[in-house]
Amino acid sequence: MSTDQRKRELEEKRAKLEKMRQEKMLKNTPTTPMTPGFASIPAMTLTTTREDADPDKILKEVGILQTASLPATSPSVSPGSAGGASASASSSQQKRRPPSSIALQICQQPTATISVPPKELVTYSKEVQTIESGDKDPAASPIQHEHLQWDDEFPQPTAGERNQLVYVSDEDTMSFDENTKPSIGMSLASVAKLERTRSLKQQNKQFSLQGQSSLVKQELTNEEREQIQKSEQFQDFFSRSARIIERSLWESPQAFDLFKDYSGRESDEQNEKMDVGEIIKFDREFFDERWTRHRIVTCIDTSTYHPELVLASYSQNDESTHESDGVVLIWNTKFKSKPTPEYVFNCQSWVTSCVFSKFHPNILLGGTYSGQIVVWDTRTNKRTPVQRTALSASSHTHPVYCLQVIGTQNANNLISISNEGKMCSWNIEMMTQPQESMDLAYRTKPVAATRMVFPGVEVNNFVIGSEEGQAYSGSRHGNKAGIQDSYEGHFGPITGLSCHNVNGSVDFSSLFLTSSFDWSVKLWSLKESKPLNSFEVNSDYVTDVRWSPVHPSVFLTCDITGRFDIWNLNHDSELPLLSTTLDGNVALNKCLWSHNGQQIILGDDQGKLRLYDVNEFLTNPKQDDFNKLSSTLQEFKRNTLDAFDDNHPTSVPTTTTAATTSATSVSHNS
Amino acid sequence: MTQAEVDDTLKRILEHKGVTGYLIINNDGIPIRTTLDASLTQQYAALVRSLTDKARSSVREIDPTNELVFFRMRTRKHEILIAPDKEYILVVLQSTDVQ
Repeated sequence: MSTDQRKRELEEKRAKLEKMRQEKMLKNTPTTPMTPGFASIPAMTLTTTREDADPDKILKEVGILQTASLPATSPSVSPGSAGGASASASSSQQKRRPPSSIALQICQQPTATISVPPKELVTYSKEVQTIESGDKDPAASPIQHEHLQWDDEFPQPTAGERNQLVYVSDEDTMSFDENTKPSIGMSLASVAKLERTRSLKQQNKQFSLQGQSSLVKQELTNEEREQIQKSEQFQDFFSRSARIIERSLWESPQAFDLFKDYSGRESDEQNEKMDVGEIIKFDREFFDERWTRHRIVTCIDTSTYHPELVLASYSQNDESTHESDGVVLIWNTKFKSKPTPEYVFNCQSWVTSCVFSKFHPNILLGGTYSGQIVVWDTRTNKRTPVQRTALSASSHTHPVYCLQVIGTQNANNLISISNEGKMCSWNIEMMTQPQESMDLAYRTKPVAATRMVFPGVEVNNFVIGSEEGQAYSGSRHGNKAGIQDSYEGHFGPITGLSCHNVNGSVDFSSLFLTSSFDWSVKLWSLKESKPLNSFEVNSDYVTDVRWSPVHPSVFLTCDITGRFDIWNLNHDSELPLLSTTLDGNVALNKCLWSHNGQQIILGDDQGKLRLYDVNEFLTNPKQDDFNKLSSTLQEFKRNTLDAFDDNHPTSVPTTTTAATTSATSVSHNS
Repeated sequence: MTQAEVDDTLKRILEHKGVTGYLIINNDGIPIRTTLDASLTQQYAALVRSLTDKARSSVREIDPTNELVFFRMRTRKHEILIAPDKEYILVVLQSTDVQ
């Protein structure tokens, strides 16, 4: 180991180092391993930082002595490379002084920049987390927006979109090619909006074109159409929508006037007022060509839930045999010009009496000629009854002439009475058999009932009119269940029966009126077996009589000549207040007051229902009307007593005839 | 309602003063029954369906418990009555010039 050799080695190694350093600079490695470790050094892969850190150490390891080193370092050289590490460690501590003598190369190291893109924060707005239905254009979001603009560069996501993209690019002649891309960047927002709307328009066109094409493809064959129209869903939908459409169609003529004719509104309102002198005013009539022609109106009822609905039942149509025998229609009085019924219901035998169920808003009940009682439901779409009673001996076998729902919301019953004298009580939910049935007989003679009324809110006591002309009162339960009293006076079947039902200062609930084929209408009290008064102004069968529900002394009668009378007992107890005969050869069969007493409904034998508005003074009773009525009743009593005194006071029939003759003579006098 | 009654009612609607035609479409916009000509039918079918959908969704958005029951558009020349339902839509066109 001569010094020359040593020096030569030194030179070589130094040159190598230089070369290494330069290579390193050229290569410009970006990643710098932070932990070079000593293992790299023997392999001669020196990192730049490592080199900067301690060139002395490296030199020491290869056994090169630093000339500027202190003499203390000289012994470190001798051990050589093996002990160079520890020696160099100690020496490097001393060698912190910048070794300016060594050609340290301070090179500029380009800092490697690593750019990590910011973490994309994906947020959802809390309200809408799904795409709006029907709003399917991809042009809405800005990200895909770019796709639309530079369709050439970015890959097409879906086939559908591609079509649209193609569509857009074909027509889009504005600045959307790649050359003008950079310039767009500035005005991207406004352009984007334009593009969006345009693309929306094109999209809609595309959609409609697509839609049309799809329609063409999917157009239904005639068989399919027929199939759909026969389907139940369609029927359901149609009955609902057609009703709404018809109502609105019939309302719209007036609505048009509102739009066009400024004075139209005033002329409409003028028609509403009624003259004070007029007692009644014709409102409208209900008639259906198909369903009510050649049928007699057999029963009328108004609904408590919807006072504008009128229910009418009709007899069978003798003219046409293919129509069903039993027809029941619901008419709506609210829509003035709609001429068609709201609902039509059928059943097998003609309906003799019908009633709305007071406690179920959608149920109607009908009693038929065959003795069956049928239940219709307006909720279903069927025209046939949803429930029917059985035709058995336990229920009726004769025509059911009268139905009434009594009771309260929770405990209600349907009472029916038929011509054979049987009275049955039913639970509306279960109509397979009656809850109880009772044979009505008066002194072992069955009562052929034609009319039945439960006065007021009574559930036990009732009044019945029979075919023989007597009226009876009875009760359903109790000690004396069955008929109790009889009221004799009429000579013909009783056709109408009405109990007084006005709440006022004086209670007249024991009064009832009867009308009969014997041309008379009689006023009775429940406590007396003789009539209080008899009204004999009719010259033919009187078919119905009804007390007004709001005025204590007003009632309505109708007869078979088409004449109907409104009586006011406070005004005149001998003659009616108003007497009108309808034109034509009509016979009135039924009459009814509306619930508020402001309208009267008359049903005739030709299937027509006529509605009249009643003047206000007949619907608003004054306080003294009640007192007046009491005094009138006293007068009646006095009249009968006088008649009683005048004649022989023994036999009942003579007194009754005397009473009637005296009544008529009195009427003649006045 | 039987088919005959459906026909009757439609005929009655058609005979009403001013009515120029009707159209029944299902929810896909396919006309089931119409008195308009083919092109008009297609147009109305597509447009009415989208319009009804939009109206329905608007009503629902304002109040989710509410729903569209009837839709009546009065334009200068016509009044369009639309009765939408779950599966079908009945559209009736009534001309306003009659009055």
